[in-house]
Amino acid sequence: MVRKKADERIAIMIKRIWGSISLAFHAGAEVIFAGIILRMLLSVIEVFQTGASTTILDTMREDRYSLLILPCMGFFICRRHVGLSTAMQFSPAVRVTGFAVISAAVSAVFAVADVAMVKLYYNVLAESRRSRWDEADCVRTFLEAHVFMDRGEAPAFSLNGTLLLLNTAVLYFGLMLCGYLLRYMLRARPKMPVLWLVAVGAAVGWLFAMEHLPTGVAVISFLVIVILLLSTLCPVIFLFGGTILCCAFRDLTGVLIFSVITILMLWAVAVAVTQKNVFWLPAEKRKEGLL
Amino acid sequence: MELTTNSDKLIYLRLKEWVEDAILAGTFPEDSQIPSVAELSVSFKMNHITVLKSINLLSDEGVLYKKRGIGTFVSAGAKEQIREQRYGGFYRKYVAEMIREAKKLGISKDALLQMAEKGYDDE
Amino acid sequence: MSKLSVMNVAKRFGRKKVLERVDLELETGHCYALLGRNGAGKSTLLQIILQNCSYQSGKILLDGRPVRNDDRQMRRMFCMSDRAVYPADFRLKTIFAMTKAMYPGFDLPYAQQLAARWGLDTNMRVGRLSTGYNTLYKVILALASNAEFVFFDEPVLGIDVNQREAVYRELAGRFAQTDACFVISTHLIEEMQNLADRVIILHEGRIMMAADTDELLDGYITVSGPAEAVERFAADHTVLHTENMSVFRTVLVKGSSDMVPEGLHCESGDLQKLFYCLTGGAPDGAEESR
Repeated sequence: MVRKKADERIAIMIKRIWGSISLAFHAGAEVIFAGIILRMLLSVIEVFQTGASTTILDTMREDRYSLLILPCMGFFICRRHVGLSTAMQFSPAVRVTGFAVISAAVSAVFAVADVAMVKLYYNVLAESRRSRWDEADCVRTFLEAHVFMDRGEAPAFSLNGTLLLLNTAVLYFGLMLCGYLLRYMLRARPKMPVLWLVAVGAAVGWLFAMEHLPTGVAVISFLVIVILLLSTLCPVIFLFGGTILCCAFRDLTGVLIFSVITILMLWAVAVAVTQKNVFWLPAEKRKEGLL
Repeated sequence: MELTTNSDKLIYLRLKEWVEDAILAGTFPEDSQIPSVAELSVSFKMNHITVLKSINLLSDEGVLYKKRGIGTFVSAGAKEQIREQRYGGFYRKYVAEMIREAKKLGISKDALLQMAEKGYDDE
Repeated sequence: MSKLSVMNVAKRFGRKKVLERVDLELETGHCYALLGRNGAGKSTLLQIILQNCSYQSGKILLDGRPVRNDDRQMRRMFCMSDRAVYPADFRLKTIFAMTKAMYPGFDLPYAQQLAARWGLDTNMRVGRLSTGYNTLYKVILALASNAEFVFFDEPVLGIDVNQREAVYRELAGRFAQTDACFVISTHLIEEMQNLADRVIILHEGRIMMAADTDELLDGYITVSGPAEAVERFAADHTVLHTENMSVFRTVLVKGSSDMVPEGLHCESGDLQKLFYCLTGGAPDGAEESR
């Protein structure tokens, strides 16, 4: 009898989370499709614009579109998503989980699209003009060049390639969640000065690290700072963070673990933020006489 | 539907009065079923707990009886019972007031009695 | 029977104290009227109970367990208010379907029936509805939700009188069928005073009164007549409110009708009048009130 009740509760919870995921999809459907189409259009335009004179350096701009589009998507989905979740009385954890799952799915799609598009278009078109940098059959994207890979080439379909894809997806997921959290923080009551400080600090730190430091050192020192700052918000991050650091010293397996842990860490941050603070929804704009 | 608004009684007593009036008028004959609590709630836009209070008062007095699973019915002899109950209050509620008003207007006792006789003959 | 406890809630907007030491108990099977003047904090209180508004202190417990951040507790409640929670471009039927998916107890056929009866086209996008219809679809969602605690924040906002009657009937009817707790916050006290069996008056951020409607009204009467006679009568009783018109006087006193002498007119307190007097009468101080 007791066991049945527990099973029932779990079943309802799973249904609720499924519901939250589907709700997040409905809330964000238009924005998501707009984002994907925009990204594809940009790639196509880029190819036709730069066309035959493409060199490897030009390809680095490609990913920047994604780096911009994804946070914007997260930003614009937030309001609708929070509104609907409020109507359905979802707790913050269930709400964020739904969004996180959709986010992960969208990020994966984007990552695949990015790598595929860049590789496809530029490999095909710029075949003859590859710089001496790149000896293999694939083109190195901005992400590949900066995130965790400052050694070795990766052929198109391989374990390495898959891990890079995963890495990219994780970064995109993070960015989408950042966009969502930014919108959330702008509307949160009470306002969270500490978190703003952390967020700005983290963003500045990330940019600095990416531009100036050698990849490995940059990532590790950045992570240390972020983990310490975010631990004040959510103690669980400290645990996750420690594991990440350990993995960072390892090679490719570390990358896989890192990806998974980063997703979990970012999810935990989002839950913590939404649990501690409420998103302010205004009253309807009153319209008269239309019906 | 609305119950009389100006009254010195609370809503559940007014509903009780309404049911009694309906029984007296023959709208709810003896042994017939009165509308359910839900129906009364909806018609009068009243809380069903309040409706239940009125119905329970009436069934405690014996004016109504409940058949489990079916509904509430008017007891045999309910009309008589209500009449008797109201008889007592009739003087205080109507006659005293009428006499007071008559005195205010300077109508003599004989004139008042004449008016009463005429009234019974006409109606 | 379930109980929702609001304990010691305090809310400040900047420096302005909106709610102070609010303690409340809501039980299923009862219909509560939440009354208060504009800005008394009714909507804020409701949003706080539903965890949609931050608060400085206090706890909201359902059957002794906190509601905050607990999905299982959260879904035992449902609220309709004028907050823009549904995206404007969603069609009504989509919202019905979605609510059905998220709330296992949601009565979809009932909701569709009600929409048809009230003249709502479920194909319409909610952003295009007028204020009245906007309120109506939300009322439908709340009525069909079958939640244990259903909150109505101004359920007749912008609705015409004919439709209001229909809403009150439906509220009475649905409440009679379920064992839920209905909490109705409204300004139109007179129209719905028979619906609630318990009354909560929120005044200047505190609970001024939380009582059974009948018990509350039983304790007050309005007595009117010639000024001197009323004055004599009023001298021995607690007067809440006085109104004068040339040689006539009306007072609202604590007491019962058997205390009133012959010659004076007596009426039982009606909720709107009582509320009006208890919360300070006319705002420009046109009448004397104590």
